[in-house]
Amino acid sequence: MVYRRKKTCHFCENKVVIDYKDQHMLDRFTNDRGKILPRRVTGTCARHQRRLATAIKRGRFLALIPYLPDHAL
Amino acid sequence: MARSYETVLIFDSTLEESVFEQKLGRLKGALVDDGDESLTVTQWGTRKLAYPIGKKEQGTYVILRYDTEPDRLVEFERLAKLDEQILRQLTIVDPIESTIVPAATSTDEPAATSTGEPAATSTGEPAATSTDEPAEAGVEVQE
Repeated sequence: MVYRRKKTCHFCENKVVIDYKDQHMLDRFTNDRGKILPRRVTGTCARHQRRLATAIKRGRFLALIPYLPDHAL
Repeated sequence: MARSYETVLIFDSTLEESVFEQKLGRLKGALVDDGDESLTVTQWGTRKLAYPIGKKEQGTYVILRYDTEPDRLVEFERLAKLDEQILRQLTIVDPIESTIVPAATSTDEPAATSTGEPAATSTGEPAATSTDEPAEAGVEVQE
């Protein structure tokens, strides 16, 4: 039997407001290729996943986080 | 009706201080009247960009928070867009209360100088200090 620990939304649990300027937070929710991690992996709730996706896209536009990893350029 | 906005501007880091101040002053003048208390300026200083923009590797980040009329905002965005020393601009409506001031990743200035209200430049941010990794699936296998 495989028991999976129930994943909880980081933002709901810690009452964190998603900010597109928070580079470290955005980094945590992207993989090493710069892609947005799915909520299946992170456990983020649907509402926060939508906000997170917007924040990550804003962060990319402002060159806070990369669109692509350095070696792909 | 005035609404609250937040604009992030990325200036060319090679700009001279006086020119930078002059450009910023002109943009601020387009947004709000002199002495408007709603305007808060937070400077992050010069940071390395995550990717080059127009062959520039570094940029000077400035965050403006203000209340203004939409037609003044249009003029502000036009001016900012015409300026070739502004690498990027992003304006959002009704911003959240934020105290994020990332460390300057490179060079001279140590981020965060504020003119206007000093409240906007503290560094405490719960999101950055939390430790659990959401990417880890946390799978436990039992027989």
